[in-house]
Amino acid sequence: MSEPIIKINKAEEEISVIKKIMEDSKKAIVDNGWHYIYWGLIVTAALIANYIMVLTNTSINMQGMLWFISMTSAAIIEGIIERKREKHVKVKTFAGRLLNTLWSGSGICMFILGFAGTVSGAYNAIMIFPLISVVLGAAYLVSGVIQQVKWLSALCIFWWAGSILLLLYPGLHSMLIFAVMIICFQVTPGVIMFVQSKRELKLLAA
Amino acid sequence: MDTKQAELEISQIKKIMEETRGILIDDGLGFIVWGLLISTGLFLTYFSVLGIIDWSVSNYAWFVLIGAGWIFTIIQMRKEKRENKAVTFAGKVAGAIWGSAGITMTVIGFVGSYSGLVKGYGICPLMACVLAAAFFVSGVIYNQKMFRYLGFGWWAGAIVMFFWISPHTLLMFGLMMLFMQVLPGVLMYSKWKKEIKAAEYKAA
Amino acid sequence: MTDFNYHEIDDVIHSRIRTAIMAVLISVEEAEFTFIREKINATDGNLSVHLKKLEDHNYISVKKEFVMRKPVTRYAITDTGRKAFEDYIKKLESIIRK
Repeated sequence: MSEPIIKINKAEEEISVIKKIMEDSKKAIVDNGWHYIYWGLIVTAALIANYIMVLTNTSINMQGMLWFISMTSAAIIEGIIERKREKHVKVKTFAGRLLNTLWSGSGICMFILGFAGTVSGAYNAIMIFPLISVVLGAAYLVSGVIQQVKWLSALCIFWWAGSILLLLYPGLHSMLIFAVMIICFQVTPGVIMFVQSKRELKLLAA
Repeated sequence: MDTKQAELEISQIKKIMEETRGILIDDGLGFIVWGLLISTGLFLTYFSVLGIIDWSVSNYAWFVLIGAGWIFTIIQMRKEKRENKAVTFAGKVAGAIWGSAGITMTVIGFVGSYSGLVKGYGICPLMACVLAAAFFVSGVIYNQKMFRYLGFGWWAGAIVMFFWISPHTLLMFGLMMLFMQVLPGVLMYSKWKKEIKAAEYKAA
Repeated sequence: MTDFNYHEIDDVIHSRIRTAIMAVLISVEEAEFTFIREKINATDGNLSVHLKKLEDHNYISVKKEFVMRKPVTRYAITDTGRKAFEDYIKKLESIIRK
């Protein structure tokens, strides 16, 4: 009696290994782009607020606090939304896990570059924008490879070119240039992804 | 088809799938070569700061070392394209991660220091921060927790180097390179060698 | 609800060599002819015939190119092929659990 049970267990174990490999090799994941839109709009709002603070010379010493509060609270809110969303996700793919790790890793990296770098005095606060741009370029390149979306990878060229431009010609305008970059190369791609995912979902439903 | 046949087929499919994926792991050579080149540059700069060697030596050395690194990477890529008969999803993503991390560090290192906006001691923590992110994501690809911990180690090192304003951070970064990049690379290389040998033995 | 019928078995995949080819290709992005041949221990002629059958059913795609002036043929699984292989595994699973 016990031999067939052992055999079935072995076969089921083998099936689960096969399924895991099949899941791992799946690259296509539907991203609705909300992360791009969410972060893009928050960063743009913080940039405009910071620009106005500098222009009007009001609460200049609160600049760091503005960024710390806006970024930390945005990250906490996103974490809560993600946890809720994860409960409804039926299939977890390797590509999805990779994408999550990529953006959380890039987020930690940008957080340290933004805060530790300026607080320690290693560089001027205006340097944050080219540094964040260069990291975003890398993140977009890898994201495009993971999602198999070539135009998403190609955005890295604009981020890196922008980063070099901001490094060579720094100034107050850096904030505005960075805000325009965020709108063009983060919010807009996010909206495109959102529209595409809606269309795909409609097709699937049909 | 009966149960026995189905079981046999499942066994064969699993074996083929595991063998196909198993052999295609990273050989770790990139970690070793880049780690050794960067740590050499860091130690030379450290000696320049201490006044042991002339600054011109370490300045020129950086161009040679980074150039050598990229030449090695291009040769490796060409070799892989010629010899690798299969492309995996994980391999493609790993290439994108380390390639983009390399470009990021080159932009920060050269443009950042050339423009004079990043103070000399700011370069090391910046590099460490980018390396940390690359190790952190690689952990998922190589399915190794060690890489994720290395990511946190590099981030911790970056924070220390940001606040510890001292020429000794160059020595610290060089040692981190040896222990947190070259050493894991050596471990990967020996694992890869073992897998290759096992595959050859199986084939024989 | 899925449209998968547990009583039908996919004859295109259900052959020792074609199942092996699909198992190799589902594990990678793309693979050269020689890579598949080494993995499944088949002869050139035999492998070509089976690859052609899978290609005819749109289960795999073929890309021919020159690398270092040498012709290289690369194969990759298509979405149709992936779905068919997943269904095939489900079928085997249902037989075992019967």
